[in-house]
Amino acid sequence: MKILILLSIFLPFYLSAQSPEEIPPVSPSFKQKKDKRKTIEEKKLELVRFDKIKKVLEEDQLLEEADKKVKKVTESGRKRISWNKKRYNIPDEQDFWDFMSELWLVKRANQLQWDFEKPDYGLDLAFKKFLEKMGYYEVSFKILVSNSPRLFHIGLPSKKSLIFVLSLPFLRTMDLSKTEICLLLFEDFKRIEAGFFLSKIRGPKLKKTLGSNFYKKSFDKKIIDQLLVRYDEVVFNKGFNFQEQFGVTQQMDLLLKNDLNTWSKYYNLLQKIDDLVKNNALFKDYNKVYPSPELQMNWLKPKSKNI
Amino acid sequence: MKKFLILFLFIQSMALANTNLKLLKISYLKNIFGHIHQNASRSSTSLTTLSCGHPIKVYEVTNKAGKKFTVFGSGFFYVSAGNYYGYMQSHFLVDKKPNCFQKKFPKFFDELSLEITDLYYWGRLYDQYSQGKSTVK
Repeated sequence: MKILILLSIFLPFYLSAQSPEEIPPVSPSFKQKKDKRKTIEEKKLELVRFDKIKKVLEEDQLLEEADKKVKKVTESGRKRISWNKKRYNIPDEQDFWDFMSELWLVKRANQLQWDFEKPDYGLDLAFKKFLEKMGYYEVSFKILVSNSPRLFHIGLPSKKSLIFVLSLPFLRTMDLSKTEICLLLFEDFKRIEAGFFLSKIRGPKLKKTLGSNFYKKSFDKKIIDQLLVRYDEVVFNKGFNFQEQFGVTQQMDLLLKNDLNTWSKYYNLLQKIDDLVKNNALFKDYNKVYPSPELQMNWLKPKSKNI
Repeated sequence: MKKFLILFLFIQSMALANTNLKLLKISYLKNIFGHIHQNASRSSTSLTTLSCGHPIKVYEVTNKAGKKFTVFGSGFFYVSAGNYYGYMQSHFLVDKKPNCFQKKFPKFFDELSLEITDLYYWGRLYDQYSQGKSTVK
């Protein structure tokens, strides 16, 4: 008797403490679980069988009203199911890449050392002006300064707002001016635009997954983990190939030639990087990621014609 | 213990008497995560981490001399969320409830099972960014 009283007191508390989804069903069948998510109106409709009282409704001229009610409840049920299904949506390309790049930055915060106290370098204003000077308007960007020499400079995959990471030791060793930093960022912007980084990490499986839905299915978290590793590979090891570098250098040449002062600054910047890579062991891996400043300078040099 | 409690309450009431807060508006955090800071500086200690869409009270502060302030340091608002009073960068806040990533894709977001450290760093990431947008003149 004592146990029964105790049970009757504590059982309701135990059950109410659980979320509706966690409440164990009376029967393990899925149908009953699904019933719990139904609205009161839907449950009422199940109790009132309009087809069995059709004759009475016809006599009272309420058939139209009953039809309306059934339609309304069916519609609300359909909306509820579709709303619940939408909650299992996987972001499409437009929403995914900005989020993924930030996730990578968050997960690699210790390696990249970007969370440190630093002054405001005014890079946001300088790059904004640079973009406007180059004729690129309505371009949103985020610049993150890292305190690690492991990474040099990179534009991460993004669709809504460009995400750049710059290494402070890399910039400081070369004593770069704001214009030179803007040129580095602009080069990275061109790489993002061309989709070089994306093409290296976006496998067919991921392409299929993005924009899909995993309602009543399990989500394969491995896709995200693998993607983080692929980010590492591109940023720290593989980087970009000669063909991609040639393409970017050609574009930079084309865009900067209108302003010879900026063009010569770009050339000097490549010279500075080349000197750094050749003389400083800390940055020797730069050529692995961006091959190579020396070649880029050769591509930029005007071709002499032999007469 | 009793003396200590009285002293604590006295100090708290003195601190409130020195400044006067007036609620300006209720805004919402637009970033995935964000921090309320102890001081009006991006490197200042974080008091709490908030998730996107969290309502935040923005105050106008009147000091002892009767001078009114709404913006502090380099673009910080004096804000409160729950019991936490501190500073947050003004461009992190919007007046209408934003369409947050974690609300748009709730189950996907849950599947990532982010840790507390991740939430902290995500908030810090927005503190550390230098953000801008080129515009038509």
